[in-house]
Amino acid sequence: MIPARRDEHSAEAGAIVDAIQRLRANPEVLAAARTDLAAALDRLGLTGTPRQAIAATLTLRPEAILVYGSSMFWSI
Amino acid sequence: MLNKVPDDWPSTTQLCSAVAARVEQVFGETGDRLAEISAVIMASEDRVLSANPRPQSSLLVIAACVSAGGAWQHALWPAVAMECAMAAADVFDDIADGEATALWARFGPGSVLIGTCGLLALAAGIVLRGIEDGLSERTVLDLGRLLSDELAQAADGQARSLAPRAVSDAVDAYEVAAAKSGPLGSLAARLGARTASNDPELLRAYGAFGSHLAVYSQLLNDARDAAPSGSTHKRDVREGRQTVPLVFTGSSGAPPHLRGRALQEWEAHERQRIAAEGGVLAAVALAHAERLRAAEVLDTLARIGRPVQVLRRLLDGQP
Repeated sequence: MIPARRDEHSAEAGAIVDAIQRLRANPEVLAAARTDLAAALDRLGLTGTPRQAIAATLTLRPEAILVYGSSMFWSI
Repeated sequence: MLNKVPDDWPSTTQLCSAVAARVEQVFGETGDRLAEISAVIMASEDRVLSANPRPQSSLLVIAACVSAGGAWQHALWPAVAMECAMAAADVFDDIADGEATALWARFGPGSVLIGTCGLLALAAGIVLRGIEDGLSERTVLDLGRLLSDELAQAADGQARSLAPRAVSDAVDAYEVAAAKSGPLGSLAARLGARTASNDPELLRAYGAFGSHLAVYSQLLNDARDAAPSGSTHKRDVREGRQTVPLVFTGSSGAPPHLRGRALQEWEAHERQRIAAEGGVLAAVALAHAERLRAAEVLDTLARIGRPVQVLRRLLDGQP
């Protein structure tokens, strides 16, 4: 039902890290994401989980997530 | 119906009380000094004997048991074992990071180290006590094996994270975060599910959920510990730990000659730089991906008729 997918997750992590690097290097894409998120994600060539993760990151302010994260589960 | 919390699901207060009572029972049967050290560990931070307990790992054990079709009472001993193992893992991590200062000051380094080993040894025996609540011998043996296997995997991941220059890029740092925290989440969920079922596919699904939940939490914690608003008690930035936000931005720790105010100023500036250069954002985005994967597993479980509402609440941070 749930196959072992760690390699797939690492590949997706690579796509996410690459997208953040490209957003930093291209502020115009970040600015464009505020008005047309889907177009900005297309420009980054993102699909699947990386696309959804970047969309959520750009939509939600990280500061809000991190306050919420103060009651998180695991900190090893 | 599948979105409704099961009618017999107890309140968090009830669950905490039930787990705490059994922890105290175990300590009452344990040698004086080990019981004293263990009780202090279990009463610190937000653990089960603290004033404001948030024993999330044992709640995950119990929630997975109920979701897999068991009665929550059957998962109590496995939950207590998880709580003790998690507390021990946490203290070992604090020792490795030089952050076990309060315990150190109270008991001394040797006693803390030996006491924490004792707490871990207790966990291995506690999980077998499921037999007292009617679990079969086969089930408690499987629980014991799970505890050993997953803790060993988490220890391997943790040792990897502490090795000098083990990480070359942010993806490596993500893999290390997953290797050290994923097995702990998988363990909690699988312990719970195994008390109710021995269906390997189902156990794999609950294990995957627990793993993604734990990695999600770990990445958010790593982001928080590097963020400008993060606690300065956490030494990640000063010591240049190999976490995603630091590796992403090439942050490798404070110059060794800095002390006092100069060190504080360096750290405040470095945290701002890490945030400005996308380190916090990268960790948060990777955390979102783990959260999505955890939600996907819950959707799969819901489709085959498993009640997942309590697990969803844990994922949403609403125990």
